[in-house]
Parts: sequence; C-alpha cells; structure tokens
Amino acid sequence: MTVNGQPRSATVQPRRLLCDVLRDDLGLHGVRVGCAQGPCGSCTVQLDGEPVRSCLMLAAQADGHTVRTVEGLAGPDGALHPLQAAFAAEGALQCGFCTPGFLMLLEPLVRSDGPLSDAEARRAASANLCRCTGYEAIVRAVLNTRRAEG
Amino acid sequence: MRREDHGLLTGATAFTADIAPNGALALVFVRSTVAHGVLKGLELSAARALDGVLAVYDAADLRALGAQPMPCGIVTPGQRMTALPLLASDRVTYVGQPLAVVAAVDEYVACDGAALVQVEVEPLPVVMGMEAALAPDAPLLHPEWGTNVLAESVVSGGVLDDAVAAAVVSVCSTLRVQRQAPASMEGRACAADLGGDGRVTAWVSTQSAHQAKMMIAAACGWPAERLRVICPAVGGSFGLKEYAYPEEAVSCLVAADLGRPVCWAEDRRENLTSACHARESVIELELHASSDGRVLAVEGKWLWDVGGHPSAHGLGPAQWGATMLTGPYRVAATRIAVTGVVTNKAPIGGYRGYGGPQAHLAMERALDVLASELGLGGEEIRRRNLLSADELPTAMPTGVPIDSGDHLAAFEEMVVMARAAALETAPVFPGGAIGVGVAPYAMSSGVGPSEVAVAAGMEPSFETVRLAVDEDGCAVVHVPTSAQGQGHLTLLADVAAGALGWPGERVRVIAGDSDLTPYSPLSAVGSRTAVVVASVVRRAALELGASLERVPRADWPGRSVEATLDPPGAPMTYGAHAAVVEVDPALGTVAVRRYLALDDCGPRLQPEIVEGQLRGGIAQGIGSALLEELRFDADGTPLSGSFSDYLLPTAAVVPHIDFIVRETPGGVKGVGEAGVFGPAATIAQAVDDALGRRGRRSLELPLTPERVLA
Repeated sequence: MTVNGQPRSATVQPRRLLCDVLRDDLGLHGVRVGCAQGPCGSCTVQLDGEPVRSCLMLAAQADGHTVRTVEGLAGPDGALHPLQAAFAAEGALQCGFCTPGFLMLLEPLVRSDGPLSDAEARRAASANLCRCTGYEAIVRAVLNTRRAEG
Repeated sequence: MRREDHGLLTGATAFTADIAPNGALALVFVRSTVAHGVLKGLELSAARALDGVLAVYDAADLRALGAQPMPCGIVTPGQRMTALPLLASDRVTYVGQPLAVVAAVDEYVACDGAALVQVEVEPLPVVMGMEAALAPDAPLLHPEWGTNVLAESVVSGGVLDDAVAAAVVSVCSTLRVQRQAPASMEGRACAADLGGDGRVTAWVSTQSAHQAKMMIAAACGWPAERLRVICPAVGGSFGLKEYAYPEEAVSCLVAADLGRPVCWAEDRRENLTSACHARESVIELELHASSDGRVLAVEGKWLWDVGGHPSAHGLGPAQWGATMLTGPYRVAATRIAVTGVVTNKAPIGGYRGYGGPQAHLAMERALDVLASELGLGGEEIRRRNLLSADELPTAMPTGVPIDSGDHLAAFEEMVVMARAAALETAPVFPGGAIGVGVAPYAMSSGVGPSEVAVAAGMEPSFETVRLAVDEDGCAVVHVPTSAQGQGHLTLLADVAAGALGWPGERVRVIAGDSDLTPYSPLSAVGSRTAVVVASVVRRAALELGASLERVPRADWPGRSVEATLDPPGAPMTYGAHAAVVEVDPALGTVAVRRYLALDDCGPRLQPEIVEGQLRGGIAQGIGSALLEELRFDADGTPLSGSFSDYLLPTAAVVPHIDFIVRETPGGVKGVGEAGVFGPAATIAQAVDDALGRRGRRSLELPLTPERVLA
C-alpha cells in the first residue's frame, strides 16, 4: 500500500487491524486508538482520500490502497496544513488525543468546493467524538479554512 | 498556538501507549464476568503454555512478589476497607474486576492467552441498587463487615436546631443521579521498564506523577525511591486518572519480575466497565424556610453508590459535594448525612466537579420545590436567597469561604438575557414546547489551605516549584503537576516569562516527572494549576529575576529558585447559566437550543483556555443531563461497554454557547470544573418549564425521553 505518499509493505497476520499495523509496524502513532469499536473516530485515516475508521478495517483490506494519516497532512517542509493551523488558531484541541481523527475526518470537507453551512460542518463533525472542546471551535476551524481556501 | 499544539496536530506527541520501549510486552487483564461470587479457582496452565505468552499472574503470584493492597487516597473515619486488592483472590464483587494478568509478545497474543484462562466462580445473589443493599436481608458483599455500608459521615455547620425551629415551611425533594463515566478519549495506560540500577520507570496516564508514585510503590511493596513516574501527554482525564489504579501497580510488578518493558493500555470496554465510574447518588433534601421563602437550614441524606469495593476516592466526592451544597445561598445551618453503600458495580471515583454537580442540582431542585410550595417563581426564590456583593466575604455554613463577587447581580443579569433568548427561540419540532431554566452556581476552586484539604480527607495542598537557568540561559520551570489537555505548559511558561520579563522562547516547562520535579502531595485537581501553581511560579520567577540582577549574565546558568505555596484560601468561582430547550411532547426528545453562560473566574490568565474549559465542561454537563448513563442488567452485567451504548454528546448535540464574562478584580479563581455545574440544573428546570410542571419533588437523570414523558 501507499502510506503518506511512500510505498510501504508489511507481512501481517490476517486478523491484525489497520490501526495496529499503522501504529506498531509503521510507527505512525498519530493514529490514536480511542475505542477500537468504531464510534469515537480517533483512529480515522483516509483510504483513497476518504475518511475511514482504521480500527474497523483489517490491514489486509488496505492492500494496494492509498492510506493517509495525520503524519501526511503537513507539507514536506513541515508547514502545517491550513486545517491544522486553523485548529490551533481556534482552540479546537485540548488534550489532542482525538485531534488527528478529526483532522482526517474533516480535511476532505475543506478540499471540496462550494458553500458549507455551519449545520453541514456540525453534522460532519458529529461523526467523531471529542470529550474536551465541546466541538464549536472544531466547526469554526473547518468553516474558516474552507472560507480561506475557497 | 499553544505550546502543546504542534505535536498534537501532527501526531508527533507521544501518549503512554506510544512510549513503550522496544520489545515491550503487552499486558492484558483477565476480568470477572460475574458480578458477585466466590472465586473458586483460576486455571492458568493453558494460557501459560501458549506460544508467545511469557507469564501469567494471579493474586497469589503477585503476593509472592511482595505486592500489597493499594492504599486508598481518601479514607473516612470508620471506613471498613481502606486499601484496594490488585487482583481478586477470594471473592469478586463486580463485572470487570481484574483476576489475572497475561504478559505476551503482543496484545493479540495476550488476548489469546487471557481467553485461555479458566475462571471458576460460584455465583452469589447480586445487589445492584443502594436501597436493596441497605435492606435488612440484603446479601453482603463483604460479609466480614456485617453490613453493606462502607462508611458514614456527617457534613454539617451552623446551629441546625435553632434554624429549623425558626422555620415555618419545610419541603422535601429527591434527586437520583445516574452512574456516569468520565470517558476521556485516551483510556488508562501504563508502560513500565526495569532499569539497570534496579529502579523502575513507569509512564502513566495520570493526573499526578507524585501521587501515582506513592500509591504504586506502596502496592508493589517497594520503597518509593525505587519508582520514577512520568506523565507523558495525557489524553484527557476529568478525574478518571486521579490517584493510581491497581493495574498500574501490576504493570510495574510484572516489568520488574520479568526484567522486560511492558505496556498496558486498556480498551474502551475495560474503560467503561472497570475504570472508576462516577456520580451515582441518591440525595434527599429537606429545606427549612421562613414564610417569605428565605432558606434557614438544609438537611439531607446522601447515598453514595461505592461499587463492589471503594476506589481510591472512598466517600470523597460525596463529602466534598455535601460540604459545598448550599452554594451561593445565604443559609444558616446544614447537616448532610453521607452514606457510602457497596453494590455489585465497578468502584466509583471522581469526575469533574467532584460531587459538586450533584450537590448543586439537588439544591437547585429543592429551591424549585420550595418556590412551588410558597407560590413564588423560581427566579424570585433564588433572588431572595442569593448572596450579594455587600455580604461578602462570608462563608457557607460548613465554613467554606465565599470570597468575592456578586452572586445576585450575576443571576439578575442572566435572568434578563435568558428571557430574551427564550423569546428569540422558535420551536422546530411539530408541537414543540420551549422552556427556559436559569441557575446560579458557586464552585470552590484550588483546594486549600492544607488544613482544609486534610480535614476533607485529602493530602495537604501546598505546591512547590523550582525555576533554574540552564546552560543556554533559558529558564526551566519544574512543576509537579501535569496537564491532561488544559494547556498548562503554555499557561505556566507565559506566567514565568511575564514575571521574568523574558520572551517566551527562553522559558521551558518540565511537568509531571517524579524525579525531575518537586514533591506535591495533591495533583492537578480542582483547578489548582491556575489558582495555586501559577501563583507560586510567578513568585519563584520574580525571585529568580531579582537574584539574577545581582550577578553577571555569564554566571546565570545553574542558578535556581525553589518556592512553596500553601494556598491561603480557596477562591470561589461563580456565575449563572441558562438553557433554552425545546421538548417534543409526543416523543419526549429534548434539544438544547441555546445555552448562555456567565462566569466570574476573576482575572483570566489565558482567556482562550478559560473559554475552552467552560465550553468542554458545559458539553459534559449536557451529556450528564440528557444522554450519559452506565446501565446494568439485573445480573450486574454492564450494558454500556462502548460509545454506542454510553452516549457522549456529539457536535450535533452541543449548541452554540453565548459567553458573558465577569471579572472580579483580585486573585485568580479556577475554572476547570465551572462548566459542568450549570447544564443539568438549567436543562432540568427548562424541561419542566416547557411542560408546565415546575416544582416536582423528584428528579432522575438523565432526562431520557421515557423520563421526560413520565
């Protein structure tokens, strides 16, 4: 599979989850495992550009696909992605454990065109759980980034 | 941008599970699936024989390593059990209780091993409710006690008999608060490694390196010096990770025994079923008042559902809540009898506000009952009882100081705004009814001085910090307390830089490492970092700055200052919140349409951090009011083992919040817990307002559709 732009290969047991292979075999600890049951979304990565819960996929299912984790979000020069910068500017993270999942969940929204309402951004953000922030700053970060990018 | 942010945003920051040294073994606990029974035997041989399993330990194996029960942090006089078993040895008292631990090459193999452990338990009748546990013929969880009562305590102040005698009206009310989970996004975790010098380093997802070190070392049977505890980044806590857990001591014992690094990271099911639960209480209050609605005395009984055995917190949260129960109101006397009752559920601990939110809700409900009894409105009853600025400073009948501010003015301001917000809110549901609730609150912050903390069963509350100049001429701030998302590195660096008059990049903060930071008996609880630690950092930085003025710059490296502060008091944060809700009378659904929060936490050191703390607290309070409930079946099996059954508020549930800032000049008041007080009281009041049924004598949380329609 391609991970953050690099071809990576690993031999894995059939039962191993994508999140565990990304974390333990590839050292991508930005994949945070918050529940391993699906609902929290902290382990969200992008598979072929779409957000997926990496705890609900077997690593073998990602064979041949393109995976992007939070480590692949900043530019090659280390410059933060506009959504990352907006998270910081808006105070959209506190403990930061859920943050990579939210970034990977919401980044496609920032990439797409057209107007985005507060309600749409809120609905999209409601796919993942955050226990610290109360979400408003996350929604604001998405809207501000989309405005700036659009 | 906070200092913490870059690493968290890029994934570079390491949490405990990311820290385990190479070759670390994974630990998985075997837990009881029976809520109450006699543990007849554990068959470990099949697990031990599994390829990839290095060791399996039960309680006897740990005892052979010198393990001791882990001492409780808070002990009430007369408490019948004061230390926690690391692994159950003869009796199980809740589903999720740890019985054995498997160390294996990875977590998958460790799970395989755990599945091979055969557990023989002879079931006993389960006791799930406190009333059932107190019945004369109730099965006893700890037969040697002769009762299911862990401990009793009376929290009182003022001359109750005189106040009751002067009253002409008395009203009773009952509040049932559900069992909840603090549910930080990162669960509990511990990595441990034996060093060449025989010392063990433990990385623990905890609120206090020093407290964890003392408790874990005691449970391991080690001198405290053998252990170093480091807090890496911690993914939220909210009280969940205060004190230490038996699993953390077991991790250290196994690392030392095998001479291999180990890592334990609980899964969400373990987190929701065996980490400390919180809040479950039944609170009955009787308010005694004059004919014009002035409250003279508050009497009450607080039943506190301890779980199968005490957690490190014991009766702590209920006692703390009972102490603060009269809140911002002018009350002459109070007497609350707190009873800790064991039931076949997981041990109960602390959660943001530490008993305060239940107490607040009980008092607010009682006032509404009194208002209804006297034919007064909810606003008027509060107006007649709230303290105004010219009455301060004063104290609650229990002696808790109420230092500064204007409780009445804050409430009046919020009443006006809440009315306007309600008028602006149109129903969305077909036939939807709008209701509004307004509640003041007062929250003692900072925990101090030491004699007050010790009287409440806690440790002394002093904090020591050290500031040193390193070889590059930077100031390094060593603080014992660590953060779990509150941005303390940013806050404390700014405080030190400001006091020194140096740019922020010349200040570094080292926090939460028991080897590198001064000893602190308490931890990052009760908003202590802003209230206590920031004060002592400022003082130390001023001292260091003054001392550096007298020496040439070349001699700065190595110079240091240590300062200790025992807080002279505990500043009272206060304010008033309002909720505008819509109730669907057909379905019982409640939606919070508007939320308004007026908070006075004194001068705001970091306004963005303050607002973040309030916002997050309010979201948690909304969860408490409407969604979150740890449920069990009649056999004691948890029904809430995932976030599909334990519902946290999502972005779709938490509304826009209007913040109104009030800043009483003077000292900083804490804000970490302030947000969680308002939502349950305001939402419950607003639901009753919408349904035209204010003044009901009983309330049970959360306000599920079934309860709303009942």
